[in-house]
Amino acid sequence: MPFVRELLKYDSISIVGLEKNTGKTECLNYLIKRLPLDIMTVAVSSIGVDGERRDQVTRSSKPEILLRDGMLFGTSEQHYRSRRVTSELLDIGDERTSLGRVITARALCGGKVLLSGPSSTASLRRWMDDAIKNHNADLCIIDGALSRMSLASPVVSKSMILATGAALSANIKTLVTKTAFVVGLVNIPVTKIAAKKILETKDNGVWSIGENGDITPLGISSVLSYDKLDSSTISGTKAIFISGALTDRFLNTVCRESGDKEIELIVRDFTKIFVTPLNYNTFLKRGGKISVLKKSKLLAVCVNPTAPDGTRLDSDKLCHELEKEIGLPVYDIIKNEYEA
Amino acid sequence: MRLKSILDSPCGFRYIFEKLQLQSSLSRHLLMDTPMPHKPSDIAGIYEELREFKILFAKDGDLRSILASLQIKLSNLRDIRNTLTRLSAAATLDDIELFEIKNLAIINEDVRKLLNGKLLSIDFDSLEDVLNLLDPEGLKISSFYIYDSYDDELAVLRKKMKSGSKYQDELYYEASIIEDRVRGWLSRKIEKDVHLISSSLEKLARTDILLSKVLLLEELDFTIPLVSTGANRYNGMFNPYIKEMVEKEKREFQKVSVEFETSSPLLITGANMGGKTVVLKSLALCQYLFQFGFGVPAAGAEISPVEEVHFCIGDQQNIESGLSSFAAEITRIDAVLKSVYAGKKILALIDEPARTTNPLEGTALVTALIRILLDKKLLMVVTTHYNIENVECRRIRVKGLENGKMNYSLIEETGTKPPREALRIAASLGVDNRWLKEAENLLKEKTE
Repeated sequence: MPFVRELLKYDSISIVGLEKNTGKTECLNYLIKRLPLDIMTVAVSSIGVDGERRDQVTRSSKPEILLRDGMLFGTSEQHYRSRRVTSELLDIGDERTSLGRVITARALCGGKVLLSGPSSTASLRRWMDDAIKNHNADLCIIDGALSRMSLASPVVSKSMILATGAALSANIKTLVTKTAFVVGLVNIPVTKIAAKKILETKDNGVWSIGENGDITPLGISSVLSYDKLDSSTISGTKAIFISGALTDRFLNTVCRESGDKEIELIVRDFTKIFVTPLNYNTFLKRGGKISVLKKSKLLAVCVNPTAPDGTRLDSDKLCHELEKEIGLPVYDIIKNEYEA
Repeated sequence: MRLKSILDSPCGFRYIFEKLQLQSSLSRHLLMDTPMPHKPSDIAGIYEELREFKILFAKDGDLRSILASLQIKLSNLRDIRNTLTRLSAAATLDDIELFEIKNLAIINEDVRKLLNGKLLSIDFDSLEDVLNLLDPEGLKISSFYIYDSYDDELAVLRKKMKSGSKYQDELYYEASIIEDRVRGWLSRKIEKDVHLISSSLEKLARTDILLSKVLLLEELDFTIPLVSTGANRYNGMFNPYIKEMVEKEKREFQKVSVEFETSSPLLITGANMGGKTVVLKSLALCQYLFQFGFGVPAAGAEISPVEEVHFCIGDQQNIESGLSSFAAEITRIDAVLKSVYAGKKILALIDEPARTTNPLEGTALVTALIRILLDKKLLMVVTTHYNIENVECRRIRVKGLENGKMNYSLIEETGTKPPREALRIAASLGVDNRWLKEAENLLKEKTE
């Protein structure tokens, strides 16, 4: 299985599911099973509640997280108490989640646990830093909760695995289109603009980058509240940096006002893009350009051809169609026991 | 009354509280929940501890060098009072709770080693027995689990689990039964020391609070006051918040000296903008700081403990609750009277009573208030613009404008007439001259 070896190059990875029951947890267990734990320390946690024995929404069965000897894990007090693993309690965090404080512990032999880590991306990042710095973790694996794309942000983890499947759509064509859109966002290239370093320090506002690289405020505080943006405002502009979210309205405005002038839109990372596939594709087709300041490496896409409602798609066909569309290897790890 | 209820008093207590460098949230909670001490011996006791800490931890103190390491240890202190309650109720603690007790024991032992023999006011007990129990392998690290060495059977089972390649539910179940048994007898053993653990927790929090008070003394240039009876004397008193504001504008804050006794109410008169309200705010702040054993903003101070502090100042709160400003004020002053007649020892600080009504009735209300309280043993300071006649009370006034500059110092006043400086001050603010001229003419007509 090639992506496990690839994974060793990074110190953090998040597993993001496009829908519930797309096989995130299987994917996590798959990784844990194949990582060379004899030469590295792996820490695993999740954002918010995850890893319930029973799925809280659909009531279908969910696999547990299998821990191996020596692994670090972060989970809430409540789930630490109900763990089925012999573990050494290393630390208790100060922040409180709905399930209590986050416990950091080391598994002393194999076992099972429900993961429910820090509840915000900022506190999750702090937990990961602590695991790496104070507990010598070489790799942090983060299991994502339902539709929490924000944790795939490169601010949190440097690489990611996308899990998709029949739960997202029972129609292979729709499933492929929807997944390809997200893959497209993740793979938006890093900007080549010279002022990138300066832009990273801009915490708010919308900025215009001129032909000669000078950065000036665009005169609107946020893309959510502006009256108008006419062609004169952006006449000398080579690129626009949006520190917050990129919305449909702003994307369309830029699309309209830029005319045949090529303007590069820069966002912090792909999780800041909140536009519909239709608008996004129109923008690209008209020659628009979107780039990011930071990008996380998409290591692989995993599919689960089975949905909780009983839908079962043709695994090989699904993998093949998706591969063709996104140009990346796609794995059905439940069906195929790939070699590490 | 607890400390948290005065945090948002208009005297500005929160400003001081937020400056405290408390290391642990437990200390913060305990401090906020402290009921206001009022017995002279209790307050003197707190200051005795504070004085010792000040000597040892001041910039040139013997223990200053270990201050930082002490603070780091205290910052790991957690509020485990619930765990201790459970322990006394014969509950079996889980790994998380045992971990927390082990951590407390480690902090206690570290702090004890740093401080014991050097402090008279706090004597740390040894939690070595508890620590040894929770660290059977002598690893001296804070992590915790049910160690193999607690139970031979457990050790055997764990070995079996480790050698098996697959997770075995059955073995884990067997092991967890033994683990529970171990937790049970561990809890019962620790329970014997629960009072020792409780008092250690309290002592560590107290250390944290005292250290933060010492640092506050330094940072804000506070002094430790003397406990007196029946009189408050302040020398070089200042308001830390206003001082900071004034100094930001590159001006100097003028400190004032003031004293008053239970035998006679003190009346402060003086020009507008003369800082009368600031004096009252500072007096209220100092009294609260004193009652809770903090340093006070003055060069020197003697303060008398009271059971209640009544600080009556016009502020938004009552207007929001639907009372007119007059009604709110009168009700507050009435509360002063009720406490006095109930025989309570109180300090009453009243800012311009009855100022929102007509001067005739206002003057009568204030004169009457002072008159009926003359022979009552309360500490009282009242500011006013009214002409209070025929009352035997001490009067001081703000010196006022001197060569176009405000002199905020307080001087004894012999006459009863309030100074007339309102027009001059208004002029110094540069308001419309026609208006002031007309007012001056009116005044002349009256005196003629």
